[in-house]
Amino acid sequence: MTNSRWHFYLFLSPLLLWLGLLVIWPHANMLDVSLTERSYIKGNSFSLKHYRLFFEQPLYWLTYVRTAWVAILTTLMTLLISFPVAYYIAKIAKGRSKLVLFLACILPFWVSELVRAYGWMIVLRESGLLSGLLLSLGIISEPVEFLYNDGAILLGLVYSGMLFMIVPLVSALDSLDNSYIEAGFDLGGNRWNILREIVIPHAMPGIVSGCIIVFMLSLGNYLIPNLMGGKDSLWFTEQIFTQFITRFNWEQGSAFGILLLTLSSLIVWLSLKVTRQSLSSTMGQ
Amino acid sequence: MTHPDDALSCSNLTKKFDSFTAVDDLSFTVEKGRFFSILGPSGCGKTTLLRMLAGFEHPTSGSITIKGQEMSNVPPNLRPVNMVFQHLALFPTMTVAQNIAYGLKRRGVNRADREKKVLEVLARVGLPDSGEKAISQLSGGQKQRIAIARCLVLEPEVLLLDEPLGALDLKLREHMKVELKQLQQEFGTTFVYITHDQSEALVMSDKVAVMNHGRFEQVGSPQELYRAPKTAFTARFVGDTNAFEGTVQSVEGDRAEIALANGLVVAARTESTVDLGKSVEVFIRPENIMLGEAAQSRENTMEAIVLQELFDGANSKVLVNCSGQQVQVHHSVSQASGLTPGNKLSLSWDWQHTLCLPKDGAS
Amino acid sequence: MIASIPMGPKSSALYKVYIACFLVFLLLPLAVVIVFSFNDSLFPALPWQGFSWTWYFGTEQPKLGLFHDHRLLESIANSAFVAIFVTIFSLLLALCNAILFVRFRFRGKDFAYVLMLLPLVIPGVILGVSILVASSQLANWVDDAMAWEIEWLRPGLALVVMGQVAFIASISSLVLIARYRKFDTSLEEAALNLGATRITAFFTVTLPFLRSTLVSAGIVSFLMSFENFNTTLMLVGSDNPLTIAMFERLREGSTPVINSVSVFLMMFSAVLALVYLSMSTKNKS
Repeated sequence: MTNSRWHFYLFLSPLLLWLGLLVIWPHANMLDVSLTERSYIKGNSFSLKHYRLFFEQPLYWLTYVRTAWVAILTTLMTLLISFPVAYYIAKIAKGRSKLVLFLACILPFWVSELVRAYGWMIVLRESGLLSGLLLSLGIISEPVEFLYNDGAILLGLVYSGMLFMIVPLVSALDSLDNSYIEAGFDLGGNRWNILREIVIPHAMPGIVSGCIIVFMLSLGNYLIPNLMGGKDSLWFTEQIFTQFITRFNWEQGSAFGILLLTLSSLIVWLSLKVTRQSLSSTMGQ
Repeated sequence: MTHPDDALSCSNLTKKFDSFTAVDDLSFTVEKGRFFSILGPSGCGKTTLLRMLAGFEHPTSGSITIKGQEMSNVPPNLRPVNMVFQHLALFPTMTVAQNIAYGLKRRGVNRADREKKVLEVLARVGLPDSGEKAISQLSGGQKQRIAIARCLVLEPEVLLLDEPLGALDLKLREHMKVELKQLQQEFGTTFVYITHDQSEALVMSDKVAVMNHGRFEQVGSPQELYRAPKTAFTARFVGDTNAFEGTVQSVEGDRAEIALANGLVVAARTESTVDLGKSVEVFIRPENIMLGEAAQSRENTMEAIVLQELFDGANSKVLVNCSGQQVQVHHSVSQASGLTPGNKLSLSWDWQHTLCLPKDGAS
Repeated sequence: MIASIPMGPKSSALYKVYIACFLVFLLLPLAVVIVFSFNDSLFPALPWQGFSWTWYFGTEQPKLGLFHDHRLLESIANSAFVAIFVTIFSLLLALCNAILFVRFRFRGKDFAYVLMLLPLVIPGVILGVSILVASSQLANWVDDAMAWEIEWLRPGLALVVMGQVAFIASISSLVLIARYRKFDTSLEEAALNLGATRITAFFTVTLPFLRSTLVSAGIVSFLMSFENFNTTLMLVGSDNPLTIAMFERLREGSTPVINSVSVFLMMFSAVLALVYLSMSTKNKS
């Protein structure tokens, strides 16, 4: 029917407008800006200068590598901490306690990330709870600063990512029929190889989607490193912010943005390839 | 060609999906007030046919006429037909009364009349106090009746039913068969009912069309289809039967002698012209075969060995082996002695009860 | 391992201890924020100076409470303004996308679906800066070419709305598409069959089916917008939304009024979360 073609374009156009104007065009434009050298005498010209600067300045590429490394570490730690909890919720807890536990895991994440980071700041700072506790126990004799170091960043990032790991894991594990585990036992398996050969392969889509989201959120996080990290704990998003907002060097900032985007896409793509998952199957959950 | 008494008529109706022909050049009419069934296996095109009648599919060619009005440019919401969907499609967000009033509301019937009509139809389907119930509160059989009431309140020319009993369990299905038939007679509406279950079609219908590969193999009363199937497909699909393959040895009027693959020769009735030497299929219904001594006088006889008794109350059968082929034979419960596996038996049957039909696809 | 294959008593107890520790870890920062909002001290830190409502109702500097801190109240209004628009736009986009992806078949559908998920794997900071660069350049160009200054393309709340819609629309689309896929299209056909037009059928049958999901997707969109930081940070002008205002206070080293704002946020989120959860359990039954 010609009628339905008309309808099709009616429903297609919002999608195109949204993705075109708010996602694709800005990124294409940012790529363009990052490859432009601005000069009042010669006008704008194509240049790889901003990318060259990134590789020539150790501060920049070291920050880049460090950010990626901490984000990967965060992702793995989040997975390790969350998996037993997700398993407990999905397979061991029953009825009411299951619901309560699941809610307890979800509810903190309905509160702004800023508030959560702030809570940790109160706990960890020199005049904070942890220091006070250790003082009163006599373990330390002077207040100790637990904030403003890499450990604090890692803690903050793991904490922020937790929800995005637990929810996909629980839903993946929940969908595993108990009879598979029973069959594994019945056929002579033990806990470890059932975990390795039945439970984990089944939960793989959940694991991958959790890891991708946590990695992405950590890599692109600005708040936690800024508030909880020390003065020398450089984070790549801070570099981007500095270039854009403080130095007003948009060409350089755009180049950094493209580099960060490339890194995150590359790692997301690699992890999808390695685990043979697709973006729509992992994100669709 | 269309007759004023016809509620529905189709001519040369065809529907193609890419290269697949779902409905192939069908022409038929349904008289007013009849219960017309279309019986066929899944994939035979019956659902496509029904959806074309309702207006959800557009014919590739051919025309549909409902009560004298050509339908090809009439959208589904303006056709004088209503449909009971396979899974009923009762609106879960509405109450029973709202479901039934839905169509009336679309026609602009005022509130007072709507309420009156809803109460009326609810009473007629035997659920007078269910108006305020939610759909999820109804039992399977009640949902069935509400789905029908929702259509009948609109007094359609034709009610289309898309295997609505499929989802019910066996007991309820048996019960609903009778109830549907009674509802149809009470309202006098023309029903077009599609199903793959031959017993549903036989029990309820005035007329049944057996459908296969997008065509009607045969249209007739349930009795005709059962007693005188015209094609091997119909013989096999309607009712239980034993089938043998063979070649025609001689033909004399409507009596043919066929040499079966296992070497025996049987006499059979044939209506279509079968040529000498042609491969045919021979069908004998289990209830037409006699067992043991009572059988001596019949024309066709076979020696057989009992394999198994298939006990099913009044419908009990015995499975026997006749020279390498398995045959099912009805037996009465009182006859049950001597059916131990391994026992020898003789079977016999009349040639009039034996049907000889050309093999499928051979004509 | 599962109910029918119990673990040994020792490992079972150990597991429970782990879950308990995890819960403490999860709830500690929030509990700390709440407790310290009642500390009658100028700093959100030990020592405890006694219980007080001053950070909620205090009327005078330096102990100015939340309900008299006009700058904070204003930023809450800004956030609400942004969140309302983001919710409306996201839901409209999501509804169009749901219809497009569930009811139409077209070439490149899978590709379009992946494209729709793309904003979820772009770090928020990058999404923010790319929109900042693109919109500023567009505004400059319009200004140069036609001497026409377009205010809403400059950093400010309108741009914040656009930046947030860019990724929140993806999330609400996912939620709505998942629900719409469960819709039995024969219900719509039944409506047509009973005499409804396509539009009436959509409003009387399809929309009621989607309604509870629209509400829960709306709640999620609203909260995500209200609490967004990374994208917002890059796009704000002179009017600060709440998270940005809180961030600036934190960097200045603020009073416990931040705690009381956080508690307010928690209460607000908790209420919305409970509405959301009751909606989604209703959906399942």
